[in-house]
Amino acid sequence: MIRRLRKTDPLTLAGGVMLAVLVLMSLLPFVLPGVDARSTVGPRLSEPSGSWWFGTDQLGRSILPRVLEGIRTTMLISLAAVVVATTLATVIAVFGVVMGGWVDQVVVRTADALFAFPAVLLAIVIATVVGPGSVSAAIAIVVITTPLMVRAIRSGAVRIIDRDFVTTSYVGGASRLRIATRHVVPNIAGLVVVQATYSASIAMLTEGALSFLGFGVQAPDASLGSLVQEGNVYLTIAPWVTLIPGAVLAVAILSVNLVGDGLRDALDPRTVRTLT
Amino acid sequence: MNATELLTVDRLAVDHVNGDVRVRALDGASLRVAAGQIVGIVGESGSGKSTLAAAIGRLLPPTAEIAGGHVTIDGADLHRLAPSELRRLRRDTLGFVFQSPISSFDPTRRVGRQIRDVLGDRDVDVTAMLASVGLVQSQSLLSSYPHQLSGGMAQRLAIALTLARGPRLLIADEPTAALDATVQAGVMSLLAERCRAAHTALTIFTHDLDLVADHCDLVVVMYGGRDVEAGLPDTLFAQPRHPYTRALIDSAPAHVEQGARLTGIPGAPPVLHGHLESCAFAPRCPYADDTCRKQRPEPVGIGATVVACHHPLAGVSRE
Repeated sequence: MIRRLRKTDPLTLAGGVMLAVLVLMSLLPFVLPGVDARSTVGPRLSEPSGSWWFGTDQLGRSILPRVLEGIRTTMLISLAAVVVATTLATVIAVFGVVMGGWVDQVVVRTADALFAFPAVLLAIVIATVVGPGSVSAAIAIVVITTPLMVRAIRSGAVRIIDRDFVTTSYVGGASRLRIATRHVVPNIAGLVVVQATYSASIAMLTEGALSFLGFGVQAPDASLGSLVQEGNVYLTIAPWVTLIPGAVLAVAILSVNLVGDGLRDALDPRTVRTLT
Repeated sequence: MNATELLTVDRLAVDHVNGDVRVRALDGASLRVAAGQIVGIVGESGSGKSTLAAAIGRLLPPTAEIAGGHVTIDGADLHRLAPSELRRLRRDTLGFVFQSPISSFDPTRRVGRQIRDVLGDRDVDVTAMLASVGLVQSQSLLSSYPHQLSGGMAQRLAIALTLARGPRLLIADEPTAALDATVQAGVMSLLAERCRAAHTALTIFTHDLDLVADHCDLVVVMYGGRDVEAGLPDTLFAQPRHPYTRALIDSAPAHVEQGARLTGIPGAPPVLHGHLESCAFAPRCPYADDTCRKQRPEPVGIGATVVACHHPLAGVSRE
């Protein structure tokens, strides 16, 4: 275990540690009672100090617990959306590739069309239709990331479907479903995991943007995006209200990307060493 | 038509289409394989071997277009079969052995699981099956991943697994080309021997005339997307009728005394773009005349040999 950690790329390790710290931090309010994200605890807009490590906001609430809640909200929305998007994208992409012909063409063109649409605009439309809130933010993230993942996963599946073992299986009379589940999905699993991590960073960014624009999480709930939005009015007089959740969001996205890069290098078949 | 005839390829023409470019890979290729017969199809790169092999399994890529001819397996026109019939035919009648043995196994599944996948609920003695191809059943073999096998082992295993399904026709496209020279002959013998034992017809597509000659009932030489000469291996070597066959034999090191110079074939194989109204070999043939350049040679029988040439060798005149 320790030896494996030592061999890991230091940037990946740093990303993993940062991510773990963020997750643990977001869970702190559950084990430390008395940290309240909702009630007024002190003067408004006071600077970070010994009493309030991250300062207080415009309503006199301590920013630290609000940021912790924000991390949790942002990560939960992103995680849920990425799980749904990854499943959806894998099923759609593999289905298209295994069926081939016009089915595949429909999948590719639809993904391209959705991909060509400005992401935030698409999200605003969804938020307008569904109504603002965390659910519509999650749906918007799914709609934005699924076409991206379909394209990437499809390109991996296409490489598998032409391999001899798939042909062997076909000639042996295997059904398309069996080809898909037995051969294609296991062989692109690494690619799917890597794509999922990249989607997670896009998801957090999108959630931040939507909440900032007021289409995502609504007060008094907090997400990192909505915290940035709440504080940005006071940017000149109390910059910490905005900058702290903004910086945390940046760190979260960076750490997910670093982990994604590490996974990509570890799972890339070209860099896989032969086991002995 | 022969009652025991299993596979008939009749004047098959296949084009590979890429945008405006149309390359003819097969230009009227014919092939007959009887049940249990072992046929070697020999030709250099670009002669249409692989396209023919793929066409027999209806495994041509989507860019390929059938421009004429038929493939008949067991009396059924292959390209008219409904998907379910095709699936049944492939499952019950056809078997494939590919060039690269490692890639015919799924890299994510252990060997033992893949054996079980293929065998399904067939009552097959795995130990005996492995022994028949010279492999010893062991936990380490069954729990290996395909990339941990050697090329020769993997190809033996692939042969055993394909035959375990009891196909009546096995199509082997360059089955030994990816293997070490030292194990090629062994794997080839094994393939032929197992097919004989199971009474499975075998078509071996290869560029190596010598490798297949010992095991085949019939050798077909391909050039320019068609069969140019077919005959018994011994006759073919002793008395090739087609100038291309002669040249192919002369260019192989095994047929030349040590120290003697190898004779190459001048020029390169043709890239066809449509039906050829001449002999495809004419530009490289020392005996070519105007007839060869203007008229397509039709196959004629000379003894047991069938040759598509206007001027078959060894002084046999058709006039």
